[in-house]
Parts: sequence; C-alpha cells; structure tokens
Amino acid sequence: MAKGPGQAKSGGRDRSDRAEIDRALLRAAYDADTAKVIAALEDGADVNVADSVTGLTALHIAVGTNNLHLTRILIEDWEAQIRPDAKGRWPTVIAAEAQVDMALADYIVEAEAAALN
Amino acid sequence: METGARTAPAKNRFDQADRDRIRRALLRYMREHAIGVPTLQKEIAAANALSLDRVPLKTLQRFLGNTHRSNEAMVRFCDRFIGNAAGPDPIADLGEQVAAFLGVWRSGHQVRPVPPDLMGVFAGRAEAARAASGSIRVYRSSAEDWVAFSRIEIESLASRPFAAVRETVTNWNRRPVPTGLHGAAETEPRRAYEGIAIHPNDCLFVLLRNVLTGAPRLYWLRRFADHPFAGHGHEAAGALDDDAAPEGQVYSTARVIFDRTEG
Repeated sequence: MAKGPGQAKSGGRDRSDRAEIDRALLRAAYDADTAKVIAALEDGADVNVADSVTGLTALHIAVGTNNLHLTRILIEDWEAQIRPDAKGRWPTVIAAEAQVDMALADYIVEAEAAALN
Repeated sequence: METGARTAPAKNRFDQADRDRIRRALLRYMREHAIGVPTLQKEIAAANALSLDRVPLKTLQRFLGNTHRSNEAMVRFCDRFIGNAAGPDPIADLGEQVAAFLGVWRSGHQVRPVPPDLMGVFAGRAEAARAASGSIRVYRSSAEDWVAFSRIEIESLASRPFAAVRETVTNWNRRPVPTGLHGAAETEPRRAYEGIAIHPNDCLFVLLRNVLTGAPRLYWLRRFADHPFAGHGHEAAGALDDDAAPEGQVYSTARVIFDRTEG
C-alpha cells in the first residue's frame, strides 16, 4: 500500500501551489488514477479537501465511482475523514445512491460505523 | 420529512415497486437529516423497538444500494420507520413536467409515451476516444472503433408518460480496454446516472444527472439498422474533469449504439 500522511511534504508552499495540488488530487480521484492520487498526497495535498463546486472530497469520489481500492488507501493509509459532503450525504449514502458493488458497500458501512463509535 | 411507526396496518409482503418507494424515501430522509446508514440503523431499530442486531448494518446498506433482495422483515422495519412520509419524488416530478412541457399526450396522439418495446436493459457501445475528432462519419457497429461504454435500464412506470432511466458508465474515457463480465470495462472509474426518458418525434430523449456530481447528461437516440437505438450522448464538463478537453469545450459528447441485453 501507499505511504501514509506522515510522509507528505509540508510547508514552503504558497496558497496557489497548494490549491493546484489539491485540485490535482480530486481530479485524479475522479479519473481513478491511483498513482496520481498518491503522488498528490505525497506532494502535500490535503486528503480531506473538498471541491469548491461539488463539495466532494477524494473519499466521496472514490466511493461514488465504485473504487474500493482507492477508498481503502484513503481511509487506511491516509486517514481520510469520514464525513458528509456539502449536500449532507455521508459516504454510505453516496454508496447507496451510486449502487456500488457489494464489497465496497460492505466495507464503507463498516468503516463509517467504526468512525462514529 | 418526519417519520415514525405508522398506525395503519403494516404490510407483510413488498413487491419491487414498494421496495423502490421505501428505498427512495429512506435515501431522501438520510440526505435531509445529514445522517449515514449506521445512524439510520439505530433510528429504525428504535422506531421498531428492536435490538440493533435485528437490523443488520450490511443488510440495510445492501437494501439501500439495491444490490440484493432483502428479506421481508427488513423491508417491513424500514416501511414502519418511514411511515406515510411519501415526500416529493424528484424524478417523477421531472418526468411529468418535461412531458407536459413537450406536449406528451397520454392517449398517444402527438408525442407518444415511451413504447413498451423500448423498455428493458441495454448494453451501450461508444465510439472510441481516438476517433472523437469526427473522422468517422457512419455507424459501423461491427468495427473495432466501438468500445464497451455503459449499461442502461429503461423502466416503465404505471400511468406515467415517461420512463425511469438508470445508466452506469463503465468506460468513461472510451478506451479500447479489455472487457470483463457483462461487457464492463475492468479498469475504469464507474459513473452512475438517474433520470427520465420521453419519446418526442419517434426519438428517445433521455435526461439524466450524475448521482455523484450532479452534472447533467443528455441522450438523443433513435432506432438504427437492427439496433434498438443509437445516437449521441452529451455531458457537461465539470470541475473534476481534467484539462484534456479542447480549450473552451464545456461538455463532452460521444456517439453511442445500444443493444438489448439479458440483464
């Protein structure tokens, strides 16, 4: 699996650089490009950043595009927060609306329950 | 939308329409109250005076995601919880309004309701991305220029002049990738859509939204040769799409062909 949040670069970036890296993270997640997601995170992207238009984080995107592999990386290696998107949809709601595969449905509901306990 | 165990006699058998109604009402309830499935599980158990283990978390998630047919007891608990809070149905409202706007006559005089033979499940192929420049000008359904693209379900709704539609795009980038079971591409992100279809001028007009991002998606389709329908699909380019699209392009478009599939 990938490196965790402790290996991310930090500091020394201006605001526009950081915004560009965060944008690269979200776009890579939407394109299911795991290597680019990890590269963005290692470059200092905020794993919990939300897209300014859709309000989605990388975790919401991974779940909503049926990407179990990326979902696990974000939760287990990068400690992504499990929280609602800007519309109030928790990852389990997004999973249900997108009718994701059973393996991802089972994983995310257990992860969300664990995060709430 | 408030809920609570209702006073009317509880149902014991639930057909698919009942299940879809309950599922949609629960999803709407969770969105409105900004709760997820683990919290919903607790609320359903409390409303039915049950211990949590009578409402298994994974079973509830699978019911809400329509990934398998849940047992009658689980559906009954959900039905009792959601009660009579029917609430608005955005897809039904949309379909009725679009049909009225375009002049669909329920008796079928002008713009006919969606014909029964266009209901079902269809596998879609799209022109491969490398040919998107427009160099191919005719449909060649057997050519390798076409790649597996999506699966679309068109469902008849009783006494409605429109059909409900659900699409799953499995090869958004329209790459000539190996396909897995059911023709689905194995290495691409999946995109899910829901919406309506109407049937003006012997065309199938499909209006969908991306359930993750909310981006609108359109199809204009009609019969082509021995295919149930073929035509064009369009989707707005969103903030999450990369910059590969030509400068100034605010949507993506793809030519598609759909063929009936078994399921």
